[in-house]
Amino acid sequence: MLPISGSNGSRLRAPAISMLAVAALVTAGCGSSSKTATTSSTSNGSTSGGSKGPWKIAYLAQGTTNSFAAQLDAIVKKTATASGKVSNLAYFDGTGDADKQLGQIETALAQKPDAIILTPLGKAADTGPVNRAAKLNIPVILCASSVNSNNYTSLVTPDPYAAALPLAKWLVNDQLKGKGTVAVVDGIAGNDTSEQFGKALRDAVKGAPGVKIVQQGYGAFSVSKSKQLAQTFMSSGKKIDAWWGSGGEAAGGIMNALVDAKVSPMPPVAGAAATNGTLRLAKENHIPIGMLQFPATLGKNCVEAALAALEHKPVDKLVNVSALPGNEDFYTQDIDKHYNAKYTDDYQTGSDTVLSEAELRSLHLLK
Amino acid sequence: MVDERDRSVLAVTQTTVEQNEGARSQLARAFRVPSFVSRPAYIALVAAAIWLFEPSFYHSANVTNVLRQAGILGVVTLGQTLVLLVAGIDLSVGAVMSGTLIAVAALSRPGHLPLVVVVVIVLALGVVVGCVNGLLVAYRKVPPFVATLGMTAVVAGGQLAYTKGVPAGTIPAHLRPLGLGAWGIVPYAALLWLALTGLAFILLRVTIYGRQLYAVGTAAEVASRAGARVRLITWSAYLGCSVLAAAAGIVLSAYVGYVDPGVGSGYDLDSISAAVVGGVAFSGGRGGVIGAALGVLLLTVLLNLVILAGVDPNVQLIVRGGVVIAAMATLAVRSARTPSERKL
Repeated sequence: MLPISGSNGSRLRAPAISMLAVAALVTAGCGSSSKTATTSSTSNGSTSGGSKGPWKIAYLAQGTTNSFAAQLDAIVKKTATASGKVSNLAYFDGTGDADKQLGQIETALAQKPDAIILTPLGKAADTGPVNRAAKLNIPVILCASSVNSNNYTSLVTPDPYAAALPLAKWLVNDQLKGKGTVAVVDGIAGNDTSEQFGKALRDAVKGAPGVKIVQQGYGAFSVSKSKQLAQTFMSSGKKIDAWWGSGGEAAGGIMNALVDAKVSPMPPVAGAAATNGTLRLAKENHIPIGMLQFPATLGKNCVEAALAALEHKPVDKLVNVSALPGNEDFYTQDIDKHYNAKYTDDYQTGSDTVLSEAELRSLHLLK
Repeated sequence: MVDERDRSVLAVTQTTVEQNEGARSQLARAFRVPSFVSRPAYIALVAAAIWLFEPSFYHSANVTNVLRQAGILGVVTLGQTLVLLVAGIDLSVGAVMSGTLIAVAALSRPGHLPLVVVVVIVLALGVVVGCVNGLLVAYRKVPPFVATLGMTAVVAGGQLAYTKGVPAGTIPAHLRPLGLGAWGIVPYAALLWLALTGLAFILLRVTIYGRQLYAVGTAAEVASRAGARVRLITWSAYLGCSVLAAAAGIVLSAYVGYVDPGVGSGYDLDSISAAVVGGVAFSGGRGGVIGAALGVLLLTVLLNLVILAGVDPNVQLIVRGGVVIAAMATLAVRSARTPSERKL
């Protein structure tokens, strides 16, 4: 899923990449400090002052620790290049490590970029640097996740709770008809997105006294761990009428466990962010689904928000990606509309609207 | 000739062990555990308690599930035990397992290599990683923690460079029975673990190599003076560990059936925990594969039980951690009291 999961590998790459990024920022920034000085964020997310660019933007990414992040990076880079307004996009590889990203934000701030696009890896940890960026009048676009501060220019993300609540109600009211049992595979304890997904289900269950959550655990946004958890739930002998998974990995793990156990008829699975893989499993095995979209194409919205802020155009404080056309929640009957057999399981719906076939192939997303 | 050298290694090792027994016996007297509470008695007590409080644990499907998960962790822990016995540690096993899955998926794409060749290549990757780890630790004197942590970054970085964050391919259908199949209620993964544990037990208990491995872990310098080839033995332990991690990665790939690049995460610390809980000493030279296997079972059963019992997910980690600490504390006292058990 989402931008949070992933290994902590490639730690040795990060210092080298950071140094290169800093060097790039210093080089590119020699003639543009005046632009930064004229840019400031306001409380409603728009900016004041004036300049035409081209701009130097620091992109503090999760790092290509999973397929979502890889597609997000590719889309951000392509959109920035295609705009013709970005002279330098300094890429900081967070390698999925919140502590490492903290230092990288400070490094980026020291170079005074015109704007920052940040995929926060730690909601609390990244709050301080975001506040410091506001003091330096550097617009900050939060891409795919939030921080504990309001001092950012724009937050571009699906609203996890708002997007998950209709799915939870679909599961509880439409599928279970207000009576039955649910097993829950959450993401990571304390992770904001995961908690928001879970809260949506629990709020829906509160309104249906006949529905009970009988098993729950954290799958760590990992397909294999989620699968092991789902298999343990199933082998307990408890009756499970429906499943809730936070994130595409949880849904993938649940569906794999159901398929391996040859469960029939398949119970409904809801809550997850859809990937081509979860859609394939649902289609091939006739699993009723209710899914939300956490598209990598939001990277395009992040760059557009950054450029709008720099050009002093109005910028929404929250760009709710779920509310954008084509990103709505969808259900079993919509699978064929979103599933594409020519792509691999890791393909995120909609990425082909930004990336060419050659670019998707280079990311191993074409079969 | 070799036997004489072996006997002398054992003699000096025994002397070193005996020098520490005075202090240990004082500790043991302070925290004495009743002598009738032997290891089988512990197991019987735990089994009865589980039957009493969580009878659903004994559902055949659940037993198979637990044994499958234990089988995968058990194979990794076996390798970790070899390394711990020579006073080392291997943090790269999780990365090797993840790399194994990526390699299996990439090499098995349609029109690519036959499954047998894929398995051989993947095991060979384990050999390469183990060779480098062993060379760094045994011949270049790099601290094991640093060497294997660095190797973790190299393997994970190589994986990322190859996949660009998006792994390609699928797990071949012919491989899936290895992870999903069972003989009765005993999954193949557990049978593989059992067979490898048996082999390792014989290797450590019966062969000269096994005795020298303990001697190197107990007192490397003394063992060297007595004629043991310390560097070669240390190197071989790391080699064995990585090959076993690759083997576990293959089984895990077969079980998961989905190309998940983070599949091996957590197995590094879990394998160390299982071995240490099972009585294998961090300081080397103490413990064995049977104890490590019991440690694997304890961890796996515990994880299963807290889930079955419906313990709040936020409390599950606390319960697991608490039980592991309690088990280690108990075993530490017991092993201090009975140093002769060091090879079980």
